[in-house]
Amino acid sequence: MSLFTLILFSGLTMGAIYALLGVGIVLIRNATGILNLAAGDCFLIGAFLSITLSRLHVPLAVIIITVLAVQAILGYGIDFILERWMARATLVIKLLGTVAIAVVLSGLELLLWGRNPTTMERYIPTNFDSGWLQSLDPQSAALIAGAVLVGIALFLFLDRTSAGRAMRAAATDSTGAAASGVNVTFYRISAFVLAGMIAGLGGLLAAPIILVDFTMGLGFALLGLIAALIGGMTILGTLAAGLTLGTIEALVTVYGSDVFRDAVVFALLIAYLLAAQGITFLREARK
Amino acid sequence: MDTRDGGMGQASGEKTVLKVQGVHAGYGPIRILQGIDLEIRQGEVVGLLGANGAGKTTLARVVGGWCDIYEGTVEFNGLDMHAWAPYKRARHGLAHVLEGRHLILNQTVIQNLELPLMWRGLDEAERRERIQRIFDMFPRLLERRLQNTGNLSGGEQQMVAVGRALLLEPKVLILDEPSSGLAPLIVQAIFKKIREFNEELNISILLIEQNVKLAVKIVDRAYVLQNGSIGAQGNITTLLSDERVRTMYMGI
Amino acid sequence: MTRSTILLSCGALLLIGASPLWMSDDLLRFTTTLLIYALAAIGLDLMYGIAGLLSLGHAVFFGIGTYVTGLLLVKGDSGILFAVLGGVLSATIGGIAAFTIGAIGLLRRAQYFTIVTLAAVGIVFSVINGSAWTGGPSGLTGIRKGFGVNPAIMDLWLFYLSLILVFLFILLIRNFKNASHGRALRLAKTLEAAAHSYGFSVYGNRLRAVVLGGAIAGLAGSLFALSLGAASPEFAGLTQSIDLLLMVIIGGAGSIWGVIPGVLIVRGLPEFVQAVRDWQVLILGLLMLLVLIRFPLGIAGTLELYWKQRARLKAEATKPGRHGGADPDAMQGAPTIDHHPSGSAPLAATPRIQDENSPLLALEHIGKKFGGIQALHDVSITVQKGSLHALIGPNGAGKSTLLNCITGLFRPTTGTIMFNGVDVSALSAEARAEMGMSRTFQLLELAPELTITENVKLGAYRRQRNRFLSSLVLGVHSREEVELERETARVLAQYGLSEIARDLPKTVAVGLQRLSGVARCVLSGADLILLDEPAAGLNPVETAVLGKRLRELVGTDTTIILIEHDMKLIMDIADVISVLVNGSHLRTGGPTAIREDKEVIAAYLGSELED
Repeated sequence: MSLFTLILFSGLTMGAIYALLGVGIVLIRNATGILNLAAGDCFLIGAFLSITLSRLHVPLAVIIITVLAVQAILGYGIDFILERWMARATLVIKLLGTVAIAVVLSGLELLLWGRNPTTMERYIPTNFDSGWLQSLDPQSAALIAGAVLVGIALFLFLDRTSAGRAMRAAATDSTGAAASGVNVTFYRISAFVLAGMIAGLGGLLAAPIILVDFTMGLGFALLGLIAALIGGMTILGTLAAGLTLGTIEALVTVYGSDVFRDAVVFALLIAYLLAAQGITFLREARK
Repeated sequence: MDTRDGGMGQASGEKTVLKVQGVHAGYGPIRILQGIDLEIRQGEVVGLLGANGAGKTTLARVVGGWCDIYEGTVEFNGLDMHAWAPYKRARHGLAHVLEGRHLILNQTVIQNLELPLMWRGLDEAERRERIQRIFDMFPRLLERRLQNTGNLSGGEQQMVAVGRALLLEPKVLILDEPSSGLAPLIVQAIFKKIREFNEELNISILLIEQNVKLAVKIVDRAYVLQNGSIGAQGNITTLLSDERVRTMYMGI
Repeated sequence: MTRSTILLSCGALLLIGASPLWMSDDLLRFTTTLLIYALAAIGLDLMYGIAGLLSLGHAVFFGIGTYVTGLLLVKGDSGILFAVLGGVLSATIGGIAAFTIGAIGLLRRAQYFTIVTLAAVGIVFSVINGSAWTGGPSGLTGIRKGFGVNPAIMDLWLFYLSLILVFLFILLIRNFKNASHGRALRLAKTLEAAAHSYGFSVYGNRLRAVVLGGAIAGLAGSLFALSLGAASPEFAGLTQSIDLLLMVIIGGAGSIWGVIPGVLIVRGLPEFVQAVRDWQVLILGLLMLLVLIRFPLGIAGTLELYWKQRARLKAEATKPGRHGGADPDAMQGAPTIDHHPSGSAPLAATPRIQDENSPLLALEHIGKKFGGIQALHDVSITVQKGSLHALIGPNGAGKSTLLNCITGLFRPTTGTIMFNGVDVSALSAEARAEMGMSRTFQLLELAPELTITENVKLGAYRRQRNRFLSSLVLGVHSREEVELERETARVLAQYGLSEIARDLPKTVAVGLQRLSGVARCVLSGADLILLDEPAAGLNPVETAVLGKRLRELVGTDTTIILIEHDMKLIMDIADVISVLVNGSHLRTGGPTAIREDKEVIAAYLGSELED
């Protein structure tokens, strides 16, 4: 197994996290226009919860169900705050709202799980016989596979099923969708619930691989946001962008300079923002 | 000729499908409608006329559920719709073809037409059959069925919007300025169709139109709005020849 | 500033200034850091509270400030001189960093600015954290070494310096907030198009605000390095940025002095109430949510509102006056509007190239296409100077589109627009405002957070000569502003709006809001005023008075273009009427001719369909 492949694999692992977070951000952004910066802390809650439950020797299946259930409730709660209590606020204020929620969640994390970074045991055994993939960590493979599967499943749902199309319709033109009998409120809430569950799933899969602490939330949310932006706010695009982002990060860390890794990623973002908007960005363009 | 009660309340025994009583409505602090009373009976085509800014669209939005009511009631088939969200009204048979149409522009014609059928629990075959009926009505759409509605012409979009509303199997169909932005020939075609729905499918229609001469072609009777209240109502031909209606429109 | 405010501020200053007398050294140093954070937060409040730009990376400037001064003193020489130099450099480089971020981030919608600030945090933190010459993750130490001054004395100096700077900047920025540029920035938060139409360059001024905010934070960073004697990458990080944001939001965005209660809660509370330590993040998050959901003005803002309301109630109790609608008697009896208000330097005379007979505005073959839709088609209309020219037509005829083309919010696809003999077709809305155009808008046009008076004052922006910096230093006390206050009061009286002068738009009836929009145009002293449905929402009495005022306005050589649906008003006051139908110009003529024109009537009532 070449060093390159290992680095690639490691990059894809982190990239899978960005992709999952990014996909959740896309769902919420398309449904409401809000950029959800609380996504990272939803992810962390999922991770922390998995860690605690595994320490209590709860069976894996129950952990999965619990995490997903908690995340669904969390998603519903976030919709409640942003779209009911703050229904009339501007998008900027709602963005601030997601920041506030992120802070609240990280405060909960601090309170419940303390300051120290923590992790859990891998639950996908390392002696799993995977042929030529032998030297690759199955836990990480599960995370990567999970991200890809979720991404593709979500895309197929939104594109090929009528319920998914109804959800997209509600997001694209809620007035028109409502006039057609589509329960737009239900689909809006569903976007939040789905996003929460996806983030939670990411946390569950990633917990054994990385160390988590309560300060990482916004940082993760930011990377998910970058994936979503570069992915053009589409599901498949974000999936690809997230995985690529992780890979570039890993490559820069090893072959470039470890310390400037983040700088490169963010510089890429700015370059993309400038380029993708085209040359007509000189001023608030006159129509 | 007294326009005020010509043609009102004479239709015998016809069931009232839509009843608006004493409605005051607006947007936040801005009051637009002042005490509106309006009625549509089974099988009628009723026009809502008036100059721009008189409140026609606001009234349509009140009925559709998009606008706050300060006072008054809106009843649909005897049910008080006061707390119902727009989608619920749609599911109960109150279809609203909105100003601006609000099609899902990044989905195809078929996908747009499927939306109102979704919650019905119909199987594939039934859905296809009903959509086919719309295509029979609007052959142009059959050709374009796989195109995104964003790429259709104004007239074609209007057809999709109307088709979408019909698939709700409505008892009442609200058409908000269906002629706006469309070429005369297309408008002609659509208005002919509207009359057909009413006659063949027995759908009651509330037609909001600024263009009085157009409305004449298909409505039985009309209300004329002026500054948020009903200035005149009654049989359409009577209204048209009334000098006062002209005054309401042109303020002179 | 009211007397009580001055008293309170002096009192606070003295109270805090007396702290060294009773505080321990540690506590004093801690209080100094609180003041320094407050200073940095002021920069953020300027960006967000006044200009509406949400920065999630404000600590970048603060951190850069600490490192610039730190590096100078550690790698260079020590001493007071270098400390001062450090301060200046920190502010400057902080400003430059802000310029870079702003230049890129302001190019697009508001959300992109936020994203760019986030990216900036990532980059700067990463670079500082990773570079050897900034000391890497452990940062710099020993910044205070070799000063040759007793550390306690130095602490004292830093304390007073920070205190004075905080109070100074609160004063300056509040001053700025209520003067021309501050007002216009606040308008631009929600109504950018309106701001452009009054001659305000939104991008440029926002950039200036960002640079200033960054410079202030840089200066604060410099002080911080001196106070702490160390610099560390966290000071430039995301957590620090969020902390600063919490201070601004909880304290009260836009109030500026809110940073003081803000910093006390965000940084002071956890320190003084040790038991709270693990709960502090949660509590702060909940407080922020509480503010966002229920008390959007924050602590300071809510207090200010409460004080203002109390003062109003007291004033009204002692002076019973009419409340509510425009006072028709006052309006009708008022003297003719003084169109070119005295005291303000008249605008550099727009060279009149044309003679008396050529039109003020000439639209030649204007066409406008949106995507596939031809909204305007070959429209040619001329408007004579000093006339009241009405634009009518059925719904969707293109009237508003044409207005937008004239004022510069839209660019016509074909055709030219000649204004005062000059081809303005390629000019921006601001440029046209400066040339003498002013307009109202059909929908919202009054900034929701500004009072009626402040909104109306915005009209005069294009006439005012104050630059950004003088606005900062002199603010409301400049001669211009004082004169403007008088002028505005006069115009408000003439339109019967004096009663509501101090009210916020949302508490004012729609008709009066419209009148305020018209008053704003009057204050601009423009040659051409364009009104978009000014009578909408007015009752017949108010409409009649509006008509009278508009006729008077036209009598003073102002030209008015009026879009309206109220036919009676149009017929009463218009000199010329142009009719638009389906994007084409149908007819132009006098009121009687238009009223009786068969084609015009048909256009309104609808045309026959061929069967």
